[in-house]
Amino acid sequence: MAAQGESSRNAGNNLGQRVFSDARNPPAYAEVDTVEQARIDLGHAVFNTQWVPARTTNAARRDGLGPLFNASACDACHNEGAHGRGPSGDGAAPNALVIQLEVRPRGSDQKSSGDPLYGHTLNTAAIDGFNPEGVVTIHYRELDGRYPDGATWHLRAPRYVLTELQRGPLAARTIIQPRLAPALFGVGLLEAVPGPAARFGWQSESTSVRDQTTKAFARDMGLTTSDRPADDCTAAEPECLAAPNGGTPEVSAELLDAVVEFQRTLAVPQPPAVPAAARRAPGRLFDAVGCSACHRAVMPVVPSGVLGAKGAQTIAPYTDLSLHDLGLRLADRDAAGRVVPSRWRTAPLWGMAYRLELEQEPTFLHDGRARSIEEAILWHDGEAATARQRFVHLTPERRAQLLNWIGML
Amino acid sequence: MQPKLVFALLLTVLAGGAAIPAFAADPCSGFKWDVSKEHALFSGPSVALSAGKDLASAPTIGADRLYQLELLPQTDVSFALAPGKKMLTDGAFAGLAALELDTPGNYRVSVDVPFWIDVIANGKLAATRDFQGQQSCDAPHKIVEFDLTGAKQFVLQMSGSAKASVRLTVTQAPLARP
Repeated sequence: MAAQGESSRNAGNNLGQRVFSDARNPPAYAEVDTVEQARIDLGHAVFNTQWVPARTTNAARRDGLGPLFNASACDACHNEGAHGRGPSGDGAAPNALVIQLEVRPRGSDQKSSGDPLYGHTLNTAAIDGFNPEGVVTIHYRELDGRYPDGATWHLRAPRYVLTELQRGPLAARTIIQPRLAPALFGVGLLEAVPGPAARFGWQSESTSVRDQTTKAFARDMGLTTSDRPADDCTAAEPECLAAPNGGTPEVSAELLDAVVEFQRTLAVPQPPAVPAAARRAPGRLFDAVGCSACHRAVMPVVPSGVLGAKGAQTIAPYTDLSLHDLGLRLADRDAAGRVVPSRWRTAPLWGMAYRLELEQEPTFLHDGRARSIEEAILWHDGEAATARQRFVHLTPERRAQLLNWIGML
Repeated sequence: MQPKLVFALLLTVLAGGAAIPAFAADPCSGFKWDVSKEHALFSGPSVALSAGKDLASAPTIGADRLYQLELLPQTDVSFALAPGKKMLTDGAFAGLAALELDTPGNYRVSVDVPFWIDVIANGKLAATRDFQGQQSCDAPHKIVEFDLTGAKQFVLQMSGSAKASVRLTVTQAPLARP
């Protein structure tokens, strides 16, 4: 549990936060020397690079895309490190929303795997001469409700329709995991929090920024690295396995190290200046409702890398980096339509003000189903059921106060 | 070419909903804006031009036409301003065009393949208002909306293209989005 009053006292903890004056050039969270800056710049360039198919003339360092993929650049989903664009309504899934596929082992001593036909990600794009693995369409059903004070709320419940599956149906046990590209700001600081290794991804499925990056290269872009020397092709996809490669590995060690360093050093957008006194009351409300039990306002970091030996410090990510059951309404389903109990890593809330300023139609939660912070809260259940209940029983004024405060983080 | 074994499968992932018929998706149907004007232009004839290697050699283009532009190796191009996106440019193609518009306003630059587009107005990179893209669509593939209210003459910079020949249109954006 969060220490009492943690959120309301946290206004001064701005370690790692910087003003983002140019969205195309997100800053590092610390001053760096020219050698480090050159490495970060190279990583930034790699992050933005449009990769091209293997053997493209003169492509040199940037070939090897696919043959099956979802995006040809990291930046295509995480625009300059920002949160991916979520679905705005019914229709084709946006590029930044990928369908991850997982088959969980029956025994606890085994690792989970991808779908036997399609692997870990349903690739919705392909280079010339290959067909995408399938097409993803989303259909929403509106859900309406009322607060105890009579005010109405609206949610949209998604249904994912997979068509044109090239190899036939998914395995019945395959869990269909729609996942929206999260913001990458501050990931290096989250990596510096002591504790369990796995903390990246919507369900803490990755152990480090590097692990998450190499998974995305292999599964979402079809690019091999020294850490993951194979794409997401399965035995059922022999042409994918036999496709020419763009080098061994396709992303060189130098480029991989640089793009990981670029992400690790990304700052967190500084929230707007608000007098501490004005933050205090809604911060206390955040604690009283119970949000801060998981969205922890203060987390310790072990200084390393760019942070250097500056002694013990804290950050304000508004996450405990732990997994929680948020109820069946948010849970994934398998291909047979069965609900699969799902646990979610608490989403960091830092940088929220920047998100709201940057995005015309921001969406929230793992699949972008929530169109506002309010909707995101209302989807909470399971371990967060009590906090949700406290939220809905707030007066309209206090609800607005709390939502406004979260939007200023 | 991979043997095309198309298996349309309907998966209703959230229970309780009515079945929705499977369909062959149009890869260009996912734009959230009305892109009928751009789509029509991309379906018509194009004007072939060679992009400039610098400002002096940049051809002039205008609104509401489809252009087929031949780009140059990016290493041979002298940009008016550094491209707004840092990226590896190994083997990339680039070029410049002068853009003349009769009416200031918000304009869409639409392209058929992924590459970076900058518009320079009054010596500065013009602000982008929004963008959209469709991964498997090339008519168009990407649309970027620029605020071009401050001038009538602009420089269009194209960079980071994997292809030497690209198609491009410039169209005025609707006043209000649906």
